[in-house]
Amino acid sequence: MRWLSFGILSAYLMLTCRIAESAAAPELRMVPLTSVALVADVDTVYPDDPGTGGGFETAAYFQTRLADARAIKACMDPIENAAVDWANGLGLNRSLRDRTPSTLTLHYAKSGVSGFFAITYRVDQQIKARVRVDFIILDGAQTSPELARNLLQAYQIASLQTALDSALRCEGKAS
Amino acid sequence: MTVRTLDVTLRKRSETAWASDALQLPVARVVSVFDAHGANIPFEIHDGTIVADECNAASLFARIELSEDLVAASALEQMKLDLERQKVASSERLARRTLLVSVATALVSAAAAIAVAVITNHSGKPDQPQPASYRDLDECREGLNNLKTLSALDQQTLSDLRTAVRRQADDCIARLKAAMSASRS
Repeated sequence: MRWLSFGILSAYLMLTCRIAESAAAPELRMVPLTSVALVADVDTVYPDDPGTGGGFETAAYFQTRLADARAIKACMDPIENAAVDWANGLGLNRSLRDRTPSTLTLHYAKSGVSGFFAITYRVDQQIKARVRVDFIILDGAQTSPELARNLLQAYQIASLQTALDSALRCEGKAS
Repeated sequence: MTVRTLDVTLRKRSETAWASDALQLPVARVVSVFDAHGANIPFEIHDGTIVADECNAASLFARIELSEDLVAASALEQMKLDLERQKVASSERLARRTLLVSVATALVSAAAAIAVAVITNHSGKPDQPQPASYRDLDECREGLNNLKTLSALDQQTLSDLRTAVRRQADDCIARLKAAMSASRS
């Protein structure tokens, strides 16, 4: 009888651990505050893009625009300058800058704010360029939709999106 | 220095000795002793007790002065408390850093190994989208960048950072596995 109880208890514990494990490792698919892209071929599906697999509204919100392949080039400086202008206006401090010939990551934080903004720019020349803005909270998760709505207004994400949209085409300030 | 004055009722301890808890304060100074009618009574102080030889009153009162040193003493306590808090915060920061560094080191070494394999296999054609394995590695690097920033936020807690590291490690391991499979095929 004792062995049977022990067996049942072990099975229960294993099951609980499995459930806890699956709960502890949620999918890290982030939904950005905004995302703008230029693509040379609109029919190509990029599974990692925000809005992919969602409804029409979601796909429209995370804009993907058709562009001439020659116009899709690395525009690191205009993107960075757009981000700097936005951040300076809001008193955000840059906490990270990671730049390669085809990638740019900028993190902006502010004292007293429980999280940080991540601006990520990726360019696959003549194929695709995407810039996105995420807000990451303290436990590394994506911000909730409720908080996201507040952030959109409080941090003027719409004007940042307009600036990034121009910067994607290498328009705007170059350093 | 600010001085506060207050009147306290004395307890009769013997025929001539009177006491009060307020007299035990190290910063208390007895200014005067008076009876119920307000008449001053001559007194002396011996071992924190007021001795009034020429008094037959049933009740006596003392006027005492408390200097600002009393506040200073509590400020000292506050400083001690702050120091203790700083010690706890410092050890928590250290634990956070150790946790982060160990996980990040493991992930970076794994990512570096896979990156070499992927770059070797990557055709580099400009008209081909980047392979999934490249994106996986890139996402993994992004995750590590996020952890770096998260660990430096002034509102960060050990518990949240632990969750973030676990979350990122799980995601990164899955992506590295995918990249490894892709680099083999």
